Amino acid sequence: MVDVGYLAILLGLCVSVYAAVATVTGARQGNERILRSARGGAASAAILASVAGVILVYFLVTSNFRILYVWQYTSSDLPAFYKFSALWAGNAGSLLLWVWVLSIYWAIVANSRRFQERLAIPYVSAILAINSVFFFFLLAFVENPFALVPGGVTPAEGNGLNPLLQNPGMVFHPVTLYLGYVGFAIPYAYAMGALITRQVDDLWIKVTRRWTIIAWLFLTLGNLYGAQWAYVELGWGGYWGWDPVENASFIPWLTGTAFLHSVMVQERKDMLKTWNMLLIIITYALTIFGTFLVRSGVVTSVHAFAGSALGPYLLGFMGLMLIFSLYLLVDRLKLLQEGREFESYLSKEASFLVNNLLLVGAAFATFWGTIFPLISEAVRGVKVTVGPPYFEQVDGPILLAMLFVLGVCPLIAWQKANWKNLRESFSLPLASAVVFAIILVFAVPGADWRAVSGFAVAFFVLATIFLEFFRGVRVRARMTGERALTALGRLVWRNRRRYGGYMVHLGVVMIAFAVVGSTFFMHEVTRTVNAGEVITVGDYALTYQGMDYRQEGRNTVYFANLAVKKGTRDLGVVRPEKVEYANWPEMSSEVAIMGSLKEDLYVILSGWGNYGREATIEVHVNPLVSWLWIGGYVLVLGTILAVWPGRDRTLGVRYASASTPRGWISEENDRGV
Amino acid sequence: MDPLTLVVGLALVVVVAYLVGAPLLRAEPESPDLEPEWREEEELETRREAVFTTLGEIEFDYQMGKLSQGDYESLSREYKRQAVQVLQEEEKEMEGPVAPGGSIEAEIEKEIEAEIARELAQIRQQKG
Repeated sequence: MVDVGYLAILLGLCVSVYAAVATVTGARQGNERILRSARGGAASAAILASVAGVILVYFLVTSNFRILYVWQYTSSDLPAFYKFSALWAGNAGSLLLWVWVLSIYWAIVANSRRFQERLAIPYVSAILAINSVFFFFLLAFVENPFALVPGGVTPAEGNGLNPLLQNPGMVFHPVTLYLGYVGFAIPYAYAMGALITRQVDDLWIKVTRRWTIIAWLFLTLGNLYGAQWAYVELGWGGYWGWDPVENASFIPWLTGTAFLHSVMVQERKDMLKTWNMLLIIITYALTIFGTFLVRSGVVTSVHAFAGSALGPYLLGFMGLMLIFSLYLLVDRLKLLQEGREFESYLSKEASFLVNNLLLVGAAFATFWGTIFPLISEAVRGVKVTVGPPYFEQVDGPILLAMLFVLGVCPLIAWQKANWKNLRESFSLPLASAVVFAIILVFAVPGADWRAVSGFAVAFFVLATIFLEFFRGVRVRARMTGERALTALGRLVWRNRRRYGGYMVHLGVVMIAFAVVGSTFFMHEVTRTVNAGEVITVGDYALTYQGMDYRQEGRNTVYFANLAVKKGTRDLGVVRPEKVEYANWPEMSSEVAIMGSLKEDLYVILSGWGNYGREATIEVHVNPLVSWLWIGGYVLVLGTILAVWPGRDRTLGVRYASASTPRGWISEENDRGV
Repeated sequence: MDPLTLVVGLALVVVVAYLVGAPLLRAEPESPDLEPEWREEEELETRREAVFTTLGEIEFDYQMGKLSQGDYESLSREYKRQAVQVLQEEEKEMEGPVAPGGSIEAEIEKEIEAEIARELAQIRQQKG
């Protein structure tokens, strides 16, 4: 079956090459037979990638150590769940997962019946085929997942999976991230299809809206799962360390978020056409760049894969695609004339533009901070470190400003807001945010002004969201005579796209509260204590009761017992652990977390001595961290609501200028000129 | 190479050859999804939905204070004109008998009322 797996990869490469050539040939000649054959190629690639994927999973689950990849990343005592997740533990497996997802997406797009002619699907398909060719090529000739252990021997036992990867967060994090990364290839391919065929109206945006949102959702989830994994598994007390690999997935998230918002302006106002093209090209390129950072071995990170030969290939492919895309964009620039111009700085479209500039600014700042050590090393031979202080100082204010704009965007009027509109919309949220800030200053004496500003802005956005719901319900109830609850339900359900978006914003606000709270109000104490001694952190008192251990299969788990009290209340016992693996040289930490909506008590066992009579314990009190995960769930629910199928889901509303109204259904647009 | 590998490998090659090759051997296929009539129908339906959605949103945004009185009136007038145009085209498509004496307009008015919601009618009633 090893040969079948590799054969599937080789065949996948061949059909992808064929499909790329056939789609272009078929489209140019208008030959439906060739086009159908190319669509068969796309379906074949999906089948072949699935076959290769299933075979590798089978080898992993059955511990076939003859396969080098299986030997490298699993062992026979590994739980089946983690044997399965070892599919994306190494370069070869994760590239196979990548091409698996990509080829399925490609088959769906190539065989979609809607808008076959209008959107020049063959060219969209050709772009996806080129991506598929590249990744199948890597699997076939650079990182073969079916390579055998040298010497043709079958080792009795495998190397084992890195203990850090044995965590549910690490099971979902890479998958969601890939779904997001690969997902952005779809709107990119449609954008290129639109440019190639010169059909640059906004239909490509309407068709890819759902693809874009779903890709964005997965990328968001990927980042959140990554943060959760770092929080519970890495044991340093935080969830985001501005590590290059974390940044690698955060940067395309920023530009993807900008794209998601700016396309709304094109849909509604026939503006920002070139900007949208540029954003999707950059986002796509950044997904490849992120993959390059993680897999090339150029950065040192706990998240990175071991160094491999992949780097130059990924960089080369990204460069080629960038050159191709930018050439196409420049060549078709005349076709991307804006339908109209900004009428006022005080308008929804202007606020979207500001939001975009902030997001792209944050992306650039993060990108620069991430690659600067590489550039410095290449130019001066000195590898400098750009750490969290840089990112916090540069990104912090930009993201805070972005949060503020997030509150402004939904309330401000399209085209031209007047002062009356602004007063009515913002007086209450602004006043409530100021009151909240004043209360905070008195309630938490000595609070950092940055924390107060962060909370106040988050509260302002929260108030705007509630105001938007409140006003919507009031208008609906007035117009229909419905009761408030009925009006709320129908308002949300019948305007899923709009209110789903507001729910996503609500999730972001929750995340913002969590980030500000945990950044500025965190307490941390590290102490070496003897049995019976107490560690005091904030309101908590932890009494060290001694060390113990238990056997879990071949692994030994050492843990400290700490009785926790908050004030006079007994909260039970926490047990931070260190796990000694039979087949891994380093011990790993398993933190103990006693969580609540208000804060997490986060305890790490740093070490012990004197036969466990003394131990070094690190205790953190991390405020509001639970809201990071709750915000994530709200965000997911909002996104699902926004893309829920139904009437009008693919329709945008174009607000033409009041003086020269023009609907998107006009002949001019309809022909895609 | 074991027989199972050989069989599965061959099966893969056959499946791929069929999916890629069969369309080339078939006669020039009809493409029902590219039929002009189908396209026109879908486009008309899309335009219809878009224009009514727009009308609904214009009304809602105006009530929410996100459109000025001037913009609201202008946009509303324009999209109602487009709604009339779309419905007239639909009427033509259906090739139904044209009712005498402005019945098309009455029909259109009825459609608009139904689509952009009962609530609008209520407001009109309130305004007298």
